[in-house]
Amino acid sequence: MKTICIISLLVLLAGNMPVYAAGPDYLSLIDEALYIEYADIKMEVYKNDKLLKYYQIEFYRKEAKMRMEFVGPAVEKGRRMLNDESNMWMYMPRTSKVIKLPLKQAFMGSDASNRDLMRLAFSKDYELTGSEQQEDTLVQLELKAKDLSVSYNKVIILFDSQRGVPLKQEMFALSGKLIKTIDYAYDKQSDGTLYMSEMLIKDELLKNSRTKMYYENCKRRQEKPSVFFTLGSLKQ
Amino acid sequence: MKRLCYYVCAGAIAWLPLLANAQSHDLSYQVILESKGQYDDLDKGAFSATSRLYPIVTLKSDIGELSNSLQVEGSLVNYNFEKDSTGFSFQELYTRFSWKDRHHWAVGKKRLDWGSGMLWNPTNFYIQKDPFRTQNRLEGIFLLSYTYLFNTGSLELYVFPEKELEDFSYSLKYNYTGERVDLSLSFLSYRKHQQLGYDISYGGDLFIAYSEGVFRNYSKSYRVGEEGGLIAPENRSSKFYTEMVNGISVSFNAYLGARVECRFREDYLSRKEVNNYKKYMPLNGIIYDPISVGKCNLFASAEIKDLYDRFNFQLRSFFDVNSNQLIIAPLFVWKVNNFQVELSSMIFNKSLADFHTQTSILLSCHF
Repeated sequence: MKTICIISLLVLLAGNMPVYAAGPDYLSLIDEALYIEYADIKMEVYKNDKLLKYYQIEFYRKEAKMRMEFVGPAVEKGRRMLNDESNMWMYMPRTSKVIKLPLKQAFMGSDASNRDLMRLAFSKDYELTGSEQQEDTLVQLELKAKDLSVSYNKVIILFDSQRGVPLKQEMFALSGKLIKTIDYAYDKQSDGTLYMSEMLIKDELLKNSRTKMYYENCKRRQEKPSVFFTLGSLKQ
Repeated sequence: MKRLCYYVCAGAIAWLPLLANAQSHDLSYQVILESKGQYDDLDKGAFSATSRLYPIVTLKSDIGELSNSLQVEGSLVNYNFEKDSTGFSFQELYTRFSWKDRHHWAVGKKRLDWGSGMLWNPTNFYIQKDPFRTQNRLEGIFLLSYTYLFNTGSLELYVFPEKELEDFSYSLKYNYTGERVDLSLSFLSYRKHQQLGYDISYGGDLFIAYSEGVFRNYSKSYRVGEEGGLIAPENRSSKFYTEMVNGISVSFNAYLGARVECRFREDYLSRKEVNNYKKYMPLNGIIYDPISVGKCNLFASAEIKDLYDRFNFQLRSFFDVNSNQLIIAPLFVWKVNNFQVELSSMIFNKSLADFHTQTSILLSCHF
């Protein structure tokens, strides 16, 4: 009986003990670095370095739920988008109608898909399959999708372990072909916190095309209630 | 007009003290100019022009957890550039109060957003869209509403006032959001009539499928008798009729998409009734929408678009199974930041309308 108790206790302890040998939890660190609950975003779509279109967006987030409100250009003003992890909707002010959107559809004529912008947490969608120390503080991480419902099967991230932020992200299809790359830039705000200030998305299948996103007034926390991130609220 | 003035006054009275004590204000405005030229082959060709100006103003203010907004959307319209054919109306004019983002009250003239169908929305008792231009800014209706939001759905109560109390309509709607699924159930009481509705949609990675339908004990359409005589909607049997729309929209890739929608209306014309109806054309032509007189209608569209969403081409087709009428309606849309041009055409086969082709160009400017 005593032996059974000791074995049971060891099993329980082993299950709860952190695995130090595996190193830092990079996926959670990335999620944390990219997590903001509010930002004013300007999105610019370029082809051959010529600006084709732009959007000005107010971005709200609460955990895995995200909402975007379009404030410019005038033709898109009043449009809203909401993602609640398994659903995506768009509110059209012209007709006061909400339409449901496919999750993998391209985001309003940009190099990003709806899922890229309304992205879920890395730690939920991916598992770390490898890490390689690069120069000084840079670590290259290799991520694999947990299931086929995730947009990209493999992701390689260049992680700055000193600042605790991702610098570059490469997304691959199931065939192994590079589909998209994202470059991140950061800025320190007045409160001393490091926030993402720029995101450059390149569609590698269209070499001359890129989407730039500028982030301003970022906040780690905002006060909108959970009901603000529901379909009913999107219509109000 | 009298009723509109009443709402404006009621809204203003409720608003002024709130505005005076508000902790924050937000005023936004927008102006949209739409000019449409249309040519059809009626009477050896007829050209018509419509110009619309929509001024839109939104005023929002907050006092603690109470927020309120005033929405005004006017419509100044002119037909064929004639001096005496200019008119003004309010598309929307309503006040809304919200408490803790969870309770919402609205009063005034407001658009209803019911139904997941793209072209046809049987659950929306009041608003019928133009299936050839689903993006039209629709006119609102007079209503009082209360909405309670909870984390997985909402409950909506509506009162649609009329001149006489006995003509008021009432509605209750429950909306639920689950994993990839939206579901709505609605009940509407209209004079002595009732309507029960459902609306369900499923969102996949690359497609959306939906079904929307009602069971109602009234009809809004005329019935055609054996001799071709017309029976008015109010004289039709008050048995329950079914109206249902099923559809699917697929996004194949960034360039290609397709949509199919089919509608069944039990109280519309059968093949035999369509033949009787044709005997009295064009006299009874105004009774029905010429694209869909029969019980069963199909819509299919294929869309090719630019990767950057600057332009798209849609090949749309409507088929009325009971009358065998086919309409092909190509549409080209070109967008540049604040401007949009739409070029569309309709070609009728076995037309029940007064014309066989119709072409239009529409220019929208947003400021």
